[in-house]
Amino acid sequence: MLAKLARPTPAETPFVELRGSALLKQPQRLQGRLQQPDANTLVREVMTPFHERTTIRAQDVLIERFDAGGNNPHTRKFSLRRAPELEGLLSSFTALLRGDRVLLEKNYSVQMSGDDRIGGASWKLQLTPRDPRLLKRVSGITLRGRGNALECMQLNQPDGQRTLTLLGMTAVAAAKVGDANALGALCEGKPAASAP
Amino acid sequence: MRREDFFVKPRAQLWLALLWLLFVLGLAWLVQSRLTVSGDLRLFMPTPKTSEQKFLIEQLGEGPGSRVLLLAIEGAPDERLAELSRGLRDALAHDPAFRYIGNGEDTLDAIPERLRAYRYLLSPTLDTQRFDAPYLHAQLQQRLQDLGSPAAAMIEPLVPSDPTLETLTLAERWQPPREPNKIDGLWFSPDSKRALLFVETRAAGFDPQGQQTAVQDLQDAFAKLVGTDKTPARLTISGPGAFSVLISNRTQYEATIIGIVDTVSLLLLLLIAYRSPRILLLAPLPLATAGLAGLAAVSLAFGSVHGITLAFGFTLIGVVQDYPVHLFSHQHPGLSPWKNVRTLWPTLATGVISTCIAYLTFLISGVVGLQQLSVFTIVGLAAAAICTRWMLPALIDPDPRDVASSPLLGRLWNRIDALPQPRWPLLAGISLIALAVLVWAPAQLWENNLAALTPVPKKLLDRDQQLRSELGAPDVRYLLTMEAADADTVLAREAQLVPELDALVAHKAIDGYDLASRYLPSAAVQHARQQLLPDATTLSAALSEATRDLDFKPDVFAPFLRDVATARTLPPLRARDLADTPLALRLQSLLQTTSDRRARGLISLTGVNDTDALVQLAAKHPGELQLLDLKQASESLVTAYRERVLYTLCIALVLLAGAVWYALRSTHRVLKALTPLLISTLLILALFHACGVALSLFHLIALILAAGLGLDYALFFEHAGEDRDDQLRTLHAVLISAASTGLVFGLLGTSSIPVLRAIGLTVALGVVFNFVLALLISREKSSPGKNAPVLDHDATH
Repeated sequence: MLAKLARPTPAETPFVELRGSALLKQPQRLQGRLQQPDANTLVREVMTPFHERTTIRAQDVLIERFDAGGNNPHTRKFSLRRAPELEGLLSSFTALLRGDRVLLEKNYSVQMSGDDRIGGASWKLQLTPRDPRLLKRVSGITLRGRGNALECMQLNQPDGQRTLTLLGMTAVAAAKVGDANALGALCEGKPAASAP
Repeated sequence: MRREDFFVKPRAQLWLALLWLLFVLGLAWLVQSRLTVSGDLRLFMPTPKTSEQKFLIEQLGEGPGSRVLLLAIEGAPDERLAELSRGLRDALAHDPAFRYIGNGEDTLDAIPERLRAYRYLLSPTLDTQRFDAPYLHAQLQQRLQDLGSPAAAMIEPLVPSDPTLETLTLAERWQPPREPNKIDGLWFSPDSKRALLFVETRAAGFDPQGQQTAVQDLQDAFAKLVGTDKTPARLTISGPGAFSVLISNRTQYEATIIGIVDTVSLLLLLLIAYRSPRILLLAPLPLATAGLAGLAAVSLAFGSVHGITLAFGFTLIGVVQDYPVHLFSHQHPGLSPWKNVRTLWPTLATGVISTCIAYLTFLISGVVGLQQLSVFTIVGLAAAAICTRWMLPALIDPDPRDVASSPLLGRLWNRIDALPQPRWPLLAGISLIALAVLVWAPAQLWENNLAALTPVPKKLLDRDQQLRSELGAPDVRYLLTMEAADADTVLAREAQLVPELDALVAHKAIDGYDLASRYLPSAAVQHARQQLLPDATTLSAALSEATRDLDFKPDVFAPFLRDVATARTLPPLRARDLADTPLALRLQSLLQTTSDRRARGLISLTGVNDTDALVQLAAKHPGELQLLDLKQASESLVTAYRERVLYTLCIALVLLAGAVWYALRSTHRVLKALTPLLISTLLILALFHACGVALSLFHLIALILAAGLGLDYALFFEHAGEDRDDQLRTLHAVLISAASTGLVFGLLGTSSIPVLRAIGLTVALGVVFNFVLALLISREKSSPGKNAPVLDHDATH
């Protein structure tokens, strides 16, 4: 199944993200696109509610935040090592994009369920980090998809917060959806039953 | 029968040898139990006069530049390099040899928890902002975006107590003034091929042992990390300390090799000259006694001995190797060794005593290192002379082959005898030409650069320069200092200076700078910021207004309110409060207490491009800001030092001439004894100068030895009188002396280390000139009946 998920670069997909935080009354909804210009680089560009571009190359993260006019980026640089959640999510994501099962199994214990035939029903991949350092910040990652498409990633934190990232067609379907529960349903592969 | 003849009996001989052995062993024990070899160059420096020199002496090897070691790890993929960089930092974090090890990893934990609330007094945010509703609103909006960005994990824990992220502001502010290229949060060279680290040693830059330990620890830790990698990464260590370790190891290595070759060839020479294995055992005795006695005397008088004293001292006592040679060469069947030594003694004693008197002048030089050298040499020479006079005659073979019976030597002497003695006008002419060369040849006469004597290979220097610029390490030559009555005033003045320094950076006069006030603002600044912090009610109201339209949960910012309330009541942070934090280490090298209890801030500079601009800056703040040129200061010290040595040498020469005159009591004979060494010295100086060799202290010390040798040669030739056999024996003795000294120092002259080469070449040349001139000038023609025997053999002086 991993082989089917492998994507050649460059690749691009829209995304809709719902990101929870213990500091916030409700999760933030972000929308933008993910690009992979080459095998070692990942660009995450948020378009709404603000404009921000993150470039992750090898271990370096560069965040550029633009003002309302799209100019004068305020930049911040840090090492991936300082953000274990991101590192974890990213390593699973890259392993998937490369179809690299060994790399995936090295970092996570993997549980697979569902149907992985093309055009078949949805499948689910549950990853539990092996690194105790990562486990302190990430209790698990769930990847859901249909056929050869990865549709949603869900990252659960030990404090009960979660981050949903909807990709590809699911992200397109979610483009107009604002409600957290509705997005959660989309992520779980249920039809985008528009919430009231 | 004289009392001394009793000792010739074999039994007594054995006892004497044992007694002597016990004495030498006792000395050795004394030396090893008391002696510490010090590498502190200050012992060898004259009293500093200018404030720059004073600073240099205080700082020698302590300045921010000189303790720094630059490390590069290369030869592996960058993930592996990063791993090694982290590993090395972790491995050495608690090593007492190091004050600071930086590899670029963030310094968020630079402030310990107990000092966290101080961030509001340390960060410059309040200088331009107020914690009012609009500012807080803008900041919180940013934090909201942060929480939605990949940096969320890093920033989220900070937000409740530090919504304006002062912690990050300070971490950024405390990064090195010119942040090197970073990969994965670690410093790397721009081409990403080398992981870079920046290490500050606890040991001073010129403390060879301390630096050796530091370098060894680094290498050991690295070797352990690399383990059994197939393509092992390499560690390069650069910087003044690493260079001094490298040079001293190389010097030691070459000196050892040369020493071994020397010993073997010397023994061969003695074996061929005397054809007696017993000589091989006896010949080194005076030198060994001299060395140990000298060391023991220095350790008793001074406690520690400087490494340079040792090197110079052993050079200078090289002359005692000739003492036993004279005894051996003059020993022949039918002559009691005691009578032999009594005959030689006046000449030997004249040489020893006059040289010792000359060395006495070093005692009044005011330089500890030279005083040590004086004690070492005088005691050493005296011990060797005593050993030769009262010990060796008991031990040598009384009936050896008479060297005067050698036909080869006889023919050689006939040839020499046929040579005309040079006339005074000729000698005066040679001396004048040498003087003219010295005065008019265009080359630089003196070497003022201490570093030129222990030069680092160009490849390594280039490498160092490259690493230095990649890491933005401080300049080793230029430094600004700010002096004031107390640390707080220094911090305040430094802060006022910052705009001017920034202007220099903007105009590219310097690439960057680092000063204490960057880490610790003055109490006044801290107090001013404290006054700007709003009280609890005001801040609480501002925060409510700022969060009204934002999605933060209520009460999330309680820790912020608490920290600000705490910060309002804190006493200003002082340097001493920072003890045991990473910041204390940075401050230690930037903020110091002077010898007169004032405070001194060092402003280290990186990439100095325009010294004039720095001079102008210092001129604008007379009395407090000073630009130090450490290179110039060290050169002026060397010059002052050399002047003192030269001055001492002139007095020494006068004393020497006086002593020789007192012994010989005849102007004619004194001239004969002193002319060869004077002309030789002039010739050596002229030759070096003509060849463009700049003279250093090492040349001077070697010249003293050469002069001492020359005096001995001349005295012995002059003493040989006109008995042909005695002349032959003297020729043999001086020939062996000159050959062995020439051999030892000639080999030293082939060294690649300039210090060794300077000493070796000077002495070797001195041996040749002195030997030839002494032979030509000082010997007596062997035509009989011209002069009475020159010395009364039984006379003692």
